[in-house]
Amino acid sequence: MLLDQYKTEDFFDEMFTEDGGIRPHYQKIADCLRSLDPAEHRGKQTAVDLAFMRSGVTFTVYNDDQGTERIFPFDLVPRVIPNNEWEKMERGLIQRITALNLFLHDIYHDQKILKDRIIPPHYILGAKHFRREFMGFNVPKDIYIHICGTDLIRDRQGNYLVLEDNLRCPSGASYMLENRAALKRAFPALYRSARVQQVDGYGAELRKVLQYVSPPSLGSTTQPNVVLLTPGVFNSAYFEHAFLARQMGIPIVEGRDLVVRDARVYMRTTTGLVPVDVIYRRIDDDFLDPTIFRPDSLLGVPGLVHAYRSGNVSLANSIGTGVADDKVVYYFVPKIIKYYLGEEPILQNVDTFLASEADDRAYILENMEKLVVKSANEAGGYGMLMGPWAPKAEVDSFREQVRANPRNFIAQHPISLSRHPTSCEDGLEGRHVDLRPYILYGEKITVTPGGLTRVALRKGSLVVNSSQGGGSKDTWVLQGDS
Amino acid sequence: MILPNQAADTMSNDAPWTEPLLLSISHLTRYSYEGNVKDSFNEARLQPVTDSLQQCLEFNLHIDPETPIRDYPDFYANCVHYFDVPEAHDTLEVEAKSLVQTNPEDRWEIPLVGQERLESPSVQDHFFDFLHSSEFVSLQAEVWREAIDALPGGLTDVWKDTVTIGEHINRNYKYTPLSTNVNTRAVEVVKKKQGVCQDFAHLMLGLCRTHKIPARYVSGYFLNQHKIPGEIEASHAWIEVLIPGYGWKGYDPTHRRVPDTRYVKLAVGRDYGDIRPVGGTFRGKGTRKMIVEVSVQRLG
Repeated sequence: MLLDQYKTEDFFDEMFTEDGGIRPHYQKIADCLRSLDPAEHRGKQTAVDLAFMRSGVTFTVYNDDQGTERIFPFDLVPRVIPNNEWEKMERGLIQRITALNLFLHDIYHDQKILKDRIIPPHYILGAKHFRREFMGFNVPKDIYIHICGTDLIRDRQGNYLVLEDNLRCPSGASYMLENRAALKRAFPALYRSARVQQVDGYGAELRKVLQYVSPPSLGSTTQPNVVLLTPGVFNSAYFEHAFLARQMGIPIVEGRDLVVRDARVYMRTTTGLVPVDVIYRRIDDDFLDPTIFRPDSLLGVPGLVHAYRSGNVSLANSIGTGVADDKVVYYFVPKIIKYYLGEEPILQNVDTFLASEADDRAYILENMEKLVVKSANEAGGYGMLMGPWAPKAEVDSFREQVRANPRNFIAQHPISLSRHPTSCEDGLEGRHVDLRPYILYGEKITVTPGGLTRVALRKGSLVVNSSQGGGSKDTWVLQGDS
Repeated sequence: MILPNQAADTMSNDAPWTEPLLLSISHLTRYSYEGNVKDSFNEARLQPVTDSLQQCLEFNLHIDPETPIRDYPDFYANCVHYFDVPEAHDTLEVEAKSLVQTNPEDRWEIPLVGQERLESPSVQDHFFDFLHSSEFVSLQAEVWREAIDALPGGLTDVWKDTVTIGEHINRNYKYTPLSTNVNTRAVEVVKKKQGVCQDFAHLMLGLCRTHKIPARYVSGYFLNQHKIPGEIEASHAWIEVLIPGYGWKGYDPTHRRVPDTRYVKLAVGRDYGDIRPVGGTFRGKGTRKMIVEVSVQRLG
């Protein structure tokens, strides 16, 4: 395949330097791509697509009339991160999750950070996902965020910036694992020679984390029973739920498979009720227990929250983590890191304007067509305005929404995400990418080397969400620096 | 104030009762289902609080079918009882019996508190939950307009203005049983201009919060010897406002007065939604009948 006609244009390119040279850590891939003729490349792509289709690597798009389930498009050209870059990123992620976990403990106990006026209290006390019912509640081992998927992007200079923290039910780890398996099959020789760090430990590590946070009442000698709780087959990430349960060798259950008796959770089985100690729940707080949160929800388990409150079952992630991935709280994360750890943040935030602060709001309303405006509590690319590309009517509608409910909005200048060579109709073209590494917090904090690189497949698009036309790539963290 | 020692039911409805009372309360809730139901999970907030105005001397909660009962304090320090009935049943009875000693207010004089003190961060942050919209009390335009009508001059003194707001509601809203239901929101009350004690309390919360007075909902009982025509129960609801430098102070907009020793407080919250006396879920047909019987007897 030809790499000579590839244009980096005015973007930071992952593979090419500004003057068109190949970055050293991409040399092996460049050599391999050069030696590949287009037909061979297409053949490999077809094989991978078929394999994904057969094993059901899909996701679901809501509000779409073309059927709900889709193949998650996979691009064959892997994204490569040299070890020195990765080590810094890893330190930054561990620092961030440590601080956020301390923040959650504080918010649900003494609220020192509010009393010290680091964060104006109304932002937290009025946050949609602040669970006042759990004030004073102690979670096992003091861990709130067991699983975290942090979205990183790179700016024009190639600096890694944090775009958002996903602290509730981050998804995508299964694609990280499937992508690796697919790439190994497509390029076995290249993969072997490149000395890539492994990702397949993720399932075992996740299982260890879940076992580690089992209820103290269980004692340390008993092996805890762990299950994965899914909303069911219609959920956008059902494939992932099934995949991870299989990887860990634990049962996958729906709400109706669990019952609560005397503040203990049990799973219905053909041989009777089996106690459940730890639940990896892929259901949001609001739907966990209809007795407590939403009486209209059929997804959850009546009585579950009481079992949790009584300390008889552990939930991962804990209830109430959503307050820390509110996009307004994101703005304060650098201050949160300094406050709890006394350190400077290793990974920087994207500069953010808070619509509830008068000066920021004036600026946002004035410059809306130049900004990216986001709802504070939406995910998956929903509830977002890309000012420079949006039709006027949409900009006006957001202006009204921001005026009506400023607490619910933040704005950022669009970041021209880094680009990566990606197979397109006419060979390789640059497409924008981000990176979601997965962090697990158990006895120690581990970051799986790699993560999910999402790529905006539409030309020029900056939206990488799978629900909005995004695909993904395998992500290689090298053992060395090239 | 010392009142003449006269028989209780000859007292005027408006004169505050200042003598300590010993009250025996029974609160029975009975659900009859159509056919069997199971997996019933419930919470009850039925235990009277103990504070400077009342002591809960005895409390007993009985569930039929019999089942273990647990309790925990919720965010607002109310005692919540929790129980489940997993096996099939066609009726569920929740019966709370309590014995409460009520005492007259003997705190210091209520201080004058102006706007500035209310707007201080210590009040705004500490009482955040009681200053903003909640499920039943949405601080929207209709509520806001009513708040201005109730207090056209704006806030000058917290307690004086609380009473003015309460009197405004009492004067302009008609106590009409069955004109609303347990799910009626404050904004609908503004439109209907009528309601029951729960609605009056919600509306008053909305008006107080609009004027930046921290205000919370109180559920409880009332030794009711002069029933408003149509008033059927001894269950009652009123509100409390926070007066900086003094503490929480109750006001009952339905009867246009400060709660006295006839009142028994069960729980406090942002609104009714936080402190439903009995609530939960079950599996089975949705049709059921609910009977509630509440009695408050004076023992001494």
